[in-house]
Amino acid sequence: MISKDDRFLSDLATELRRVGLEAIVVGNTASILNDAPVLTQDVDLLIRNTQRNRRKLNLLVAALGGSMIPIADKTRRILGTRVPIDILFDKISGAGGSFAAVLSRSHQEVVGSDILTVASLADIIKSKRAAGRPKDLAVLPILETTLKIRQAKGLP
Amino acid sequence: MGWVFVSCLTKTQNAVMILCMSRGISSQARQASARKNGRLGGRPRKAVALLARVRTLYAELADKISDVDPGDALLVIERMCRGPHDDRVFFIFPRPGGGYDF
Repeated sequence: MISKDDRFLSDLATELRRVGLEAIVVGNTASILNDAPVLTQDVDLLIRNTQRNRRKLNLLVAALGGSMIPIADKTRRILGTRVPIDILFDKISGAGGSFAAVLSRSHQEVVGSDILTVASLADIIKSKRAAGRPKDLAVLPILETTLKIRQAKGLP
Repeated sequence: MGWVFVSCLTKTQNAVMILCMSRGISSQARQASARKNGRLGGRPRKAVALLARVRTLYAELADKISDVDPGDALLVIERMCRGPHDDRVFFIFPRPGGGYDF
């Protein structure tokens, strides 16, 4: 059975594809899609900061029935959806965190009946270590354990 | 109906009743679910299949992850074995009065 959470991510993937917005799932939602046994309160998406993408982003917000507010210079939050969606422009914390670099190491994951592009667990670990907030550091040990087990299974 | 009956009993009687129910001695509901789900005693077939996948993968990886805490390893492996149709949970929702909902 598809859970409500999987269905929400599936609907998000469908809308991203429909508006043609190239986005990479980062943050703890990406950790979960990389098999980490953690939970989160939002979805983080990394996109390129271009005029065209900002237009597509407005279409996405309208399609999801939410509203968008700025929470930092290069971060926006979409509210009014099942969980808040944070939009990060151009890069995530840590060396090699540019959109192109993260995309080159990303992979596709099935969510519900659709597909999302998901950052590699190594990139998520790097970004959390660089962010250095207590909540990021707290989750590092289990993410590193997950990476070790994934590598033992031959996964990235 | 079974729970209403149990709640009328003393603690000792409750314990005996629950023990009997857990052994399938007197619970009609348990017998009915066993008939519905085969010999699993009400445990969903998908849960049994998931458990089998977890056991298999854990056995396969055990040598390579001997330095990992077994409890953590099982949590990760269970996640690995869950697909998009296996009731995955991603999000928690803070309650106004404290605590979280899934």
